Amino acid sequence: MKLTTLILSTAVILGSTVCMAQQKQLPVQVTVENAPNVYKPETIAVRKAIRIHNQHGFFSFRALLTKPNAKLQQERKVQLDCGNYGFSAHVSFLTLTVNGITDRKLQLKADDMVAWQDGDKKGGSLLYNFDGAKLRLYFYMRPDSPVIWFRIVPEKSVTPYKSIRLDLNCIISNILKKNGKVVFQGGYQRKAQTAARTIDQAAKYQDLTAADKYIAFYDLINDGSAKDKGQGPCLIVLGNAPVKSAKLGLTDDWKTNLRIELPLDFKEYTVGLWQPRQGMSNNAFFEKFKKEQSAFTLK
Amino acid sequence: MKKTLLLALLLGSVCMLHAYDLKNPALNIVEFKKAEKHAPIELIKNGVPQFALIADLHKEKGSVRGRSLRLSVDEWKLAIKKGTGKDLEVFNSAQIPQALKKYRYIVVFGENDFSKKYIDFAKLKLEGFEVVTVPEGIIIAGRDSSVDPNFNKDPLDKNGYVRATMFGSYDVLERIFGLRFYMPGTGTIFPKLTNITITTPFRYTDYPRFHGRNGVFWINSTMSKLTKNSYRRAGFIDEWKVFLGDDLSMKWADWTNDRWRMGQTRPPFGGHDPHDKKFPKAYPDKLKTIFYQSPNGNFYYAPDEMIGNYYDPVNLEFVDLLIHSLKKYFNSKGKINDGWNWANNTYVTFGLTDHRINVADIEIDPVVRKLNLITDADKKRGAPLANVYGRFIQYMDRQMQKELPGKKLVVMAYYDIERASLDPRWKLSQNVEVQLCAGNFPGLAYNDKAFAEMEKEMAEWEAATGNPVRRIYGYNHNTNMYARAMIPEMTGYALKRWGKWSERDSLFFDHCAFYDFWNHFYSKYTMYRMMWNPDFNSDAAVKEMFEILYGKKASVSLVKFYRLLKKTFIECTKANDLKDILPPLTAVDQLEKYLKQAEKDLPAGNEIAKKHFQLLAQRWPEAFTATRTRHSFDRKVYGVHQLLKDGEIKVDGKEDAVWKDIKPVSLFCPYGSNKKYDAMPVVKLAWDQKGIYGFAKMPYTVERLLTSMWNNDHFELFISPGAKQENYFHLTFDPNGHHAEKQRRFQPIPQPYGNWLANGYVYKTITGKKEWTAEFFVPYSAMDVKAPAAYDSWLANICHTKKSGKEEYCSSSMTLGHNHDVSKYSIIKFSGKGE
Repeated sequence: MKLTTLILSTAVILGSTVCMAQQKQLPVQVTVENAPNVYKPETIAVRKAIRIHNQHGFFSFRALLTKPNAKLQQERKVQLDCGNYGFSAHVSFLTLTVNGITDRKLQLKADDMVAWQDGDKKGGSLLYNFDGAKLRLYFYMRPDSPVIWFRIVPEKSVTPYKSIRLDLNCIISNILKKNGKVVFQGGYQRKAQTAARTIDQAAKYQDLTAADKYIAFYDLINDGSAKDKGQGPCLIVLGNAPVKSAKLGLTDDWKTNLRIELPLDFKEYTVGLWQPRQGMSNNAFFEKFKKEQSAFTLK
Repeated sequence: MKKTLLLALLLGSVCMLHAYDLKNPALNIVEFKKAEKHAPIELIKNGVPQFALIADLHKEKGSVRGRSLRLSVDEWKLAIKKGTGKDLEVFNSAQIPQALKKYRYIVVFGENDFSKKYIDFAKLKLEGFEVVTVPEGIIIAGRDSSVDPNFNKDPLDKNGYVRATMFGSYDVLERIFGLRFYMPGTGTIFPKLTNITITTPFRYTDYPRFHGRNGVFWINSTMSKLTKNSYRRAGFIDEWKVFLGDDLSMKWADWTNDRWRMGQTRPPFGGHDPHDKKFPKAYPDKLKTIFYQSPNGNFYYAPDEMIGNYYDPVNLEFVDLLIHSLKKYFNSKGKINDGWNWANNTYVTFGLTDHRINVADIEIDPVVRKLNLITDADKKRGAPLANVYGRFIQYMDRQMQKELPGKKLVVMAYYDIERASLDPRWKLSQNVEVQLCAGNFPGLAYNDKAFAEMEKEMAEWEAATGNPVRRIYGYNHNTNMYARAMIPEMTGYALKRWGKWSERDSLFFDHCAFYDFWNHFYSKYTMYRMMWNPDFNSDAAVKEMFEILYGKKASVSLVKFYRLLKKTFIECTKANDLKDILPPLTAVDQLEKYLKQAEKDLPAGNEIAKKHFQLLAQRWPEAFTATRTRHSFDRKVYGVHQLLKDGEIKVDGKEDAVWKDIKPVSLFCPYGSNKKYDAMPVVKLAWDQKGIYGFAKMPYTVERLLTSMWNNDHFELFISPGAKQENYFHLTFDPNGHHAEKQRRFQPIPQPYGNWLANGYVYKTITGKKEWTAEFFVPYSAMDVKAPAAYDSWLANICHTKKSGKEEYCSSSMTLGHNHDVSKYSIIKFSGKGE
């Protein structure tokens, strides 16, 4: 009986694996939008978006340059259309700072961002010029994964790199509110699950190691289990390339920050981001993550 | 039956044509008095005048322009000739019996034995007249300087003409005969005169509330030919002939000045006196006595420029020199004249040059420091030089009382001398009179805050001198079409707010330009009427005017247009200054609709009405476009190319290779008109750690080679380091070697616009056959700032003015023509390497 059960179970597992392998993944689709919908378009001088989608999900990556504000300053921004929280447009989800110059200061021309593909990886690329120190950011999806991948590559530059920093920011699941007002600090119960450990909130930045290959952020209060419980977890898949340092700012704040310093001689560095657009409970998220390991793995 | 009806209608229309309304609200407000008794007077019967003119023309002396009786006679003869085709005969007052034998009635002009029987001339006010109907006809009379043997006996009396009778004669032509003097040429309405009968006796009187109503220069300019050397390039006679007929000539300027009842009885009073170019020529060895030189070496003497000279307000030896010069002038009866345009037996004017001084240059003067003439309190009230000038005026006044007794000193309160000193040390005597130059008058009549500020300035002067401010020098806006059309219309309300009319002399209105003078004829016309009497009903006048010029149907929309324009302007200026008038788009849309409707409703086949409409409407499409552009305009951001080490620029005026790949700054109409330019310059900017470089290519042939840079083609760069609008630097050059470097600081202590030493600044121009090019370099050190970091933003404005051939002016910023308005400058962003 036991043997029969074992054989049957094995057959089912094998069968389903064969089915998965045989199931054809649809190609990634890319659309360039030259005048995407943005919040307060009257304040934006340059805007462009590249929409990437596959059968597992979609993202829209937007690059914007604001019109001069009251202090006559413009701001360059990138935004990800991916739901209300997580890496959404409510935070600067991805910021590059090179040689002390933040990308917010840079100019943006519409042709700085173009569509791009490498085999079945499709998306776009955006040029950054930090006063002669140039980088290119590739963003793309694979046919087999709901993750959007970001690869940073050095470009031919007239100014040497003195420092390269990548900041990833997110709002885990939701913000807290008190008397109708946003709580920016205090009362949050967020955690980060990496490949190696569970990290709790702390007042200071915490160092990550090579073993922390991914970070799944989740919130114990807003656990995504119901409509009023936030959007649920979000995920950063860390690249394999060596980094100078990686520090996690999982503080008792509305926003969480991951700061990665890249070595000056880096060849490329890739991270992946994912969050369920429609929301997902912590349990369902981890179950899916466990089940679809391959989809959440950098290739 | 039908014929009877037609006849009745025809008669009705004729009667309508010649019906007059003595109290027509569209005309000047006159005071009616007890009339004489007499039978109806048939002045014109079946197209034949029944009267002769009576005027003692032989008694008139002096300039033709001052001869009130002659001008009255000529205008009446013209009106009757145009209205009936008949000539009027003229008799003198001694010939009245003969005239009455030949004609049923007489129209008597001026003071004579006959008119004295009916009019008490002693009771008439200056320039006032009385009109009275008598059994023999009409008497129109006032006191005229042309028959006064003592008038301007001394050539330095320089009194203005008193032409009271002439004003009365115009009033009757308007009130009884229906003439209207809206514009020169076809804009003057001479009705056909068939039957005019004065059915009810009347007597009325009127007088101007202000004795200066002077727009002669402006109207004359519009009737002049464009001359080769004129720095104003538009608004001359040929442009107006298109709308007002080929008959236009300087004669029409004289007519219009008189018909609009201009006058100036007081002797010249206030101006830039002495002339800052002529005076130093008389004393070439005393330039450093005449013009200010700062202890830091900055010498305010620019003989070839329109502006740039600055009289020394600290050195009292300069006052002694002025008095010495004035004594020569008066002792020689004006024959030895070192540049006194205004001095006369009543007034001597001191008016500073058309320039400001940098306070920093005068603050360090040892006399200023010793006497503590510049105080923080004065700086705070925007009058840093009030004591400097208080001392100067006080000394000049005292010297004048000693050396030139009987002459008053007039101060032109303008620029650095605009505010009175509040320091009791510099109290002035009543021998000092003031003309206040008020940029917001009459434009901001409805802006309580701005008006209160003007009243405060006046109160300060009145306290300092013990005299009322006699005259305001008011201004139109230079460019904004809504303002240019409506500021004149504000005159009535502004003068009412100013008040105390009997103590005043005038509002002198500077139209600031005449390129659009007749486009806004309606408000110009009403403005001078309101100078005569601020209670003049301009709304009624414009309504009647539009009905007469455009027909009843079209006038409906045009009256709405005018009223909305007025309402919009008032709303725009209630809480804002004149710099930034931006009507709401709803108003713009509506104004545009009214004009379109009016055009449709013009009387068919009436070419004159069509031309008059085109005149009124001519500039509005561009103004509407500009308003819409401004509503949708975003401040421009221009990248300044960062030079790499191998990209060094040699400033030689040539387009070096490095310039080829740099994206040019876009220039455009700074008023928002979106107009296309024939010769749009290409301007490029670059930077490195030393400074800012520029290259400009102007694609046209240079024809203007005048000594004044501002009247030549010229290129200007305004730079305000950073984004805080604390200061700016202004560089100008022309292709002929003239250049100027200026600066102004707003914070932390406001400083007026003044010279800038600009150490290290270089520019070079090359003039070719079909273009001129320029290259320049401005070091940061000259601006006393550090090199910017990549991606820093500064404010800048690049302007180009083409005077050769067709005049063009473009800018990199939507400044609305206010090149010095830093708040409107575009942003220059210092690009990173390789961008």
